[in-house]
Parts: sequence; structure tokens; C-alpha cells
Amino acid sequence: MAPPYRSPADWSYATRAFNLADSRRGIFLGEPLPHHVLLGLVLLLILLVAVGAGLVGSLAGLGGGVVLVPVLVILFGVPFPYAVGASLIAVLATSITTGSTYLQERLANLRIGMFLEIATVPGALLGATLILVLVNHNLEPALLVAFGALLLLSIPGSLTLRREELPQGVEPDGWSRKLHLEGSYHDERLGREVHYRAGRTPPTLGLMAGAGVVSALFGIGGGVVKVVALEKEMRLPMKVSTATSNFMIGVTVAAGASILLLAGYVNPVLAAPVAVGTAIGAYFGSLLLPRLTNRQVRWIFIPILAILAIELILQGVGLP
Amino acid sequence: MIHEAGAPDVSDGIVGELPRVAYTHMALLLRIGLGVSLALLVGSTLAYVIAQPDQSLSSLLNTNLAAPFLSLTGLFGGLATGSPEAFLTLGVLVLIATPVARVALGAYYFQRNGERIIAAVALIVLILLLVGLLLIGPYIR
Repeated sequence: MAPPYRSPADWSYATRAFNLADSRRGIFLGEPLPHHVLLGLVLLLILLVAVGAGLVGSLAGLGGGVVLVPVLVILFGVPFPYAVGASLIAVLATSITTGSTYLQERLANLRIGMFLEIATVPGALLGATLILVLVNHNLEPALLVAFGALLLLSIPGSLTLRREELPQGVEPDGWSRKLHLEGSYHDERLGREVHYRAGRTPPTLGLMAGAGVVSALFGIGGGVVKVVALEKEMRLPMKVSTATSNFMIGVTVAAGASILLLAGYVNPVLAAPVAVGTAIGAYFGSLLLPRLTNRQVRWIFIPILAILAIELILQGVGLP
Repeated sequence: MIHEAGAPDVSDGIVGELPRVAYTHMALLLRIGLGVSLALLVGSTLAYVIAQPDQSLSSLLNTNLAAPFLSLTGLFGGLATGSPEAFLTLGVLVLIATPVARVALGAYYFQRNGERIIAAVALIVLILLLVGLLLIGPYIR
């Protein structure tokens, strides 16, 4: 059992509002507002914020967790490991929603995805163990700073990533040949069947283990690392990389979430509105994305990510 | 049919894709798991909010609500008494179990398709997950 965790929730914006409303209930409405109504309103607020996080995350191409964890920590004062636990549940719900669509379209390469899960699952178990060790040693501020830095670093990466639709000249390695890490899909836009083979399997496995660690440590899907590994190392087509990454996120996140659940850091009451809200936000994000230009996405959402990152770092170094 | 550079020729003998029904069943499994889980989470959150005792948001966010229900006896006992926390925990467990069940279903279809190596790979993933939980679990509970 995890030791009792001292919560920063006492100074959070949401708790202040909650406590204020709690102490003054009756002043505005004439009679006391039932406690469960107040709690319901807070959970509804968390759900709405999660919708926003899912929307921003999907539009920025970074996934819901990247926005959700800082928002839960900053706005609601949720302790970092609890925010990670709730976020992992939200990422799980979102990845299942989109993953089932990719499966039906047969875009995800199951053979490649399942093989690489050999690296992501131990990575996630390690990442989840690491977060427990760090929190038990009161190193949560270091995690906040690290997450803030990761968020800042991912911004230029997402701006400069020039995606290659169909990689050329891919040389399959020994593993790829032996395990037949290859596939084909019908490309709607190109109007033809595309065949591909994977290359550079060993370094991809290493990157996938790293993606698993990052996923469980920060409560994110780790899709950014996975997609880059699949595109840049294995040289898979863009659409296959995205779909296969999403396919792998489910079991990777399940591994990390299991450890945090056992440790007591998955609070179901918090996870429920967060999961539902993020999934709704991600869905609307996928509808909205084709209507926005890259320029609009950058100008609207990069500042949000930058503010969240800086706020996390400030909290990490003790300057809330 | 156009082959990209590095893609196999027909003479290479591309390993057959899984039958369409395998993809359909896996997608269906994911959707059912998600639907059941979200229904449990939403329904039992509403029940919890209505029934929960007077407590601050701070203590709610820091309470390990799932702890009593992380054993079979605890979970079934909680479900039998209609505890909203037990149903909430079940919702989380179903969500976590859904992609794990997808791996098991994938292993089954690869085995049926004669691809024993990838079926074995999927089993290794499940074993890694199980061994990891068995090794790490006792130290954190």
C-alpha cells in the first residue's frame, strides 16, 4: 500500500472554489446546497476540463494525457501520481476508441505491434515502479519539472516533424525477415494497395522500451515516441505508424495502470469523469482537425502547451 | 499492385494477413470492453455522488477507494452489497483488462492462422505482464 500522500489539493483553484462554496452554501440560494450536489458539480467541472484536454491533445497531435496531467495538477491540485493514474485510464479509453476503428480499417499492423509490445510492456512496468519509488522518496517535484521539460521539448518536435507518406528504400533486417514484419493496406488517398516492410528492428525495440517507461512515468500514451520510432527507425508508412502505435498504447498503458491501481494511485471517482471527458474531447478533436490549418493549430495550441509546461516547472521548483 | 522500395516481391511470399473476421472480432472486443467499462464508471460515479458521505474534495482525491476491492473476495463482496466503489473499481478493471484480452485474442488468431512465432510473441507479452505484476505487486500492496 502506498503511504499517505500529502496533497497539494488544499491550495488548488478547484478546491478553493469548492471549499468557498461549501462554507458559504445557503448564502445565495437561501438554503444549504446538498454536499453531493457540490461534489457532482466539481466532477462535472473535471469532465468538462477533460473534454478540453482531450480536444487540445488530439488537435496538437500529442494525445490527451499530455494536456490532462498538467491540467489536473495545476487546476485541481491533484497529486502527481493520482493525476498520472487518472490520465492512464483516460488514455486507455481514448486509445480503445480510436484503436477499434484502425483495426476495422486494417491499418494497424498486428504482427509488428505485438512484437514491439515485448519491449513496451516491461518499459511501462519499469516506469510505473519508478514513479512509486520517486514519490516515496519525496521526489515528486523532480517529476513535475521533468514533465514540464518533456512538454516544452515536444513542442518544437511536433512543429518540425515532416512526415513521409511512403518511405522509400527500406532494407529489412534479419529480425524483420524472420518474423515477417511486413504488411499491406489500401490507401484511400493514393487509390492503391501499398506494401511495406520494416527495417532496423533492434533500435526500434530499444525506443519502444523507452516509450513504455515515459508512458507510465508521466501518464501519457507515449505515442509521440512510438510514432517517431515506427516512422524514422522502422520506416513504416505514416498511416501504418499512427495506427500501429495506437494499437500498442492499449496494452502498454494497461501495464502501467495496473501497477498504479495496486499502489492506490488510480482513484476511480476521479478516473471516471476524466476518461469520459477525454474520450469525448478526442472525438471532437478528430472531427475538428480536418477543418483547421496547421498554422491555426500551432497558434492556438502551442501557447497552451507552453503555459502548462512552464507552470509545471514553476510548481516543481516551488514557485506556484 | 504497386510495391514500394524494400517491400517484398511476390516471389518473397508475403505472409498472409489475418482473416478479416479476426480484425472484426478484435475491434468488437475493444468496443464491448469500452462500453461495459464506461457504463459501469458513469453509472457508479452517479451512485457514489448521491450516496457518498460528507467529505472534502481534498480527502476524496487522496482516498484509495479501490483498495478494498482489489481481491476477488473483496470485489465480489462489494458487488453483492451494491457498493458504488466496488462497481467503480470493476469499471476500471474491465477497462484495463480489455487490451489484455485483445492480445490473447490476437494470439489465438495467429495460432489458428499457422503463425506460431507471432502467437508465441503474444503469449510472451501476456506472461511478461503477469510476471511483472506478480513480482512488483506484493511489494506495493
